[in-house]
Amino acid sequence: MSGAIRLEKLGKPVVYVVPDVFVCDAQSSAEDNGMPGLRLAILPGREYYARRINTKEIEPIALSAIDQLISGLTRPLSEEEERPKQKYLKPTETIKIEAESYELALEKFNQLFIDQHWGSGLPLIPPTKERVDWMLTGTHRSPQEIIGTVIPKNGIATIEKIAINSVMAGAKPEYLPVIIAALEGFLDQDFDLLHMTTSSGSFLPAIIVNGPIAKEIDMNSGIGLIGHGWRANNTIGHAIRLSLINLGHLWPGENDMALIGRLSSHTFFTFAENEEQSPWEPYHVSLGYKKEESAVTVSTIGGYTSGLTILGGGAVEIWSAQSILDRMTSLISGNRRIFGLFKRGQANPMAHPSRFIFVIHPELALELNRLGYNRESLQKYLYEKTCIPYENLTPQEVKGLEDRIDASRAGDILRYDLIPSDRLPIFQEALQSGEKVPVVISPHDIALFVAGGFPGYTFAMSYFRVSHVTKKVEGV
Amino acid sequence: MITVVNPRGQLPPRRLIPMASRLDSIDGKTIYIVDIRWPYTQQFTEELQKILSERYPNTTFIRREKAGPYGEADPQLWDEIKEKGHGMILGTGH
Amino acid sequence: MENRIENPSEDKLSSKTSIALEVLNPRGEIAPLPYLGISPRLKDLAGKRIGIYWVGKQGGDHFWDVVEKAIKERVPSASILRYKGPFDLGESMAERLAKECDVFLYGVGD
Repeated sequence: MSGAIRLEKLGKPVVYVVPDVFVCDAQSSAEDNGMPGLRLAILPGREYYARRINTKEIEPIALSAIDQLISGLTRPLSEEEERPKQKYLKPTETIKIEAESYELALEKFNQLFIDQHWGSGLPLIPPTKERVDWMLTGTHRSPQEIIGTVIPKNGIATIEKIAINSVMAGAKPEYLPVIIAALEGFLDQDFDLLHMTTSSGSFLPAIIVNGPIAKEIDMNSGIGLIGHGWRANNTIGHAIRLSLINLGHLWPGENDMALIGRLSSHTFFTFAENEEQSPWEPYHVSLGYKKEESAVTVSTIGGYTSGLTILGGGAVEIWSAQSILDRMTSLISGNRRIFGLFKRGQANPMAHPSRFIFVIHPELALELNRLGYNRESLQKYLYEKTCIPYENLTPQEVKGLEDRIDASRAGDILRYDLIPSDRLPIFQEALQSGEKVPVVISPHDIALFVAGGFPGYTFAMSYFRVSHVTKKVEGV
Repeated sequence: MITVVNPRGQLPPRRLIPMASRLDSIDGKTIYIVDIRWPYTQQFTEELQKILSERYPNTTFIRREKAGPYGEADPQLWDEIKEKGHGMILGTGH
Repeated sequence: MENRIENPSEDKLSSKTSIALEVLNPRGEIAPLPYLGISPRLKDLAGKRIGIYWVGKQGGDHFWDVVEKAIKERVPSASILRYKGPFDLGESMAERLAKECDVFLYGVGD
């Protein structure tokens, strides 16, 4: 979309071709990019996806689109297309709901909000001024402070708006700093929030809390850590879900095109590291934060790139430290995207190198610690163990990596595909006989957390390299 | 003040069963070790039988596997234990 | 609950006094953005250079192969140039392509 608009801005007539199910998304996106009149040619989605398998199948669909394509390039512009009118409306600050009783008003409020696409589908607490003021007692930050704008429609995220959404989610004031930190993570330049919240691949965030605040607000990091039954975990996730909907003006099937929805779509995977039962320093401390500071890590996971894979532990199968390490290494080394199908300038998810999160259950962490591993040495072990001997690469894989190195050096590459300059020499040197080639770009792309109960499961979640950000919890 | 309605499901009345009286000693007694056949319980119950037999030579430890899924009773085995046994160790729960 | 809403008088909890619940708007305000019009269209495509920009999603090439052939039949004097790249082709590629073509077909965007 933004690409088509670039060409329009350079004075070129463009027709943007889109299957009908994405028309609403495309129109919305054209508006978000400041060109609401961008011309679309609309294909019947029901047939397009099923028949694009070969030229013969797709022919009737393509032929029926020719008139639209040509007319889109040649039909004279209407007044509105030439000079679109600005549609800005100053939003109302408050909404008044009248009813004969509080119960009826509550019901009316909930129905109104979901009808407006301002809710999540779960019941909401009315964000009255009193309750929002109460929520704001959870932070020292000014209600008017802007932390950024939220895609896809670039709604302005103020502390007050976040507090309003936190009230609706049923959160408590002491959770607010965690909710704000998570949103700051999403708005970081290293986080691709647009992809996570709108992609048809149905991605979701993991929201992992470290530091003393997790215990202070009673977050679960033990049995049932990604499940229900914990107000802090669940309402922090729900507040973030509502903030994404309302600050970004996001809605399923309109501009959130997650085709199957998401796992844990209302509350996401929101949990704390089990620092008490971990033999290692907390995750945020390994990043340089102080132990007495709190931090929130937000990380895109899931979709078709793997939501959650159990690697061992539990009360059924027997396991050993080595059996789980072996599963971790085979999961990492089985993912050869770094070599794959990379072509300069072309978007191909199967060629975006991966980043892994392993959530290690405490029993395994204790055992690994006994065997002499700490977080850093385990990252190093997994990174080195998963390197592939140069001789085992196919010529196409060698070519793929060579192209990636060249494009990274030239800066002519998507951020998803980039090998950062400090890692380039490692890959350059590895491309020769007798050497081993890493499949992850850096040991830091293997993030290790300790969480779960006794017994617990060790599980993996993964995504592309970007969109893994840790933010300090501020303003408590 | 607001009054709300209890959302909890009503539990059926529970029949409370007294525990069997304990033995003064297991000397000369027969104790059944019943393996519920959850994955990998066999090696545990076999080891348990071995260790207990060594430590309590005057007690007979009989290891038996319970028939059926782990949530179901094995009436034949229960009858046998009632007739020949003095106590039972059941394991392992998970 | 449904019935209570339909027939509020039956609602024992409901008092006759009307209550007003005032709530704050949870929506992020969108700063006004200048809207741009689209470029003037061409009268016809005869003799023009038509760029087909494909975002590389699977199967799209089959669609564009048919389109290319059909447009050539319809407007024999037009030339067609094919490009492939990410969803957003980026500024430098846009500038290069704008020099090479008169009009563009862009997609297929899902």
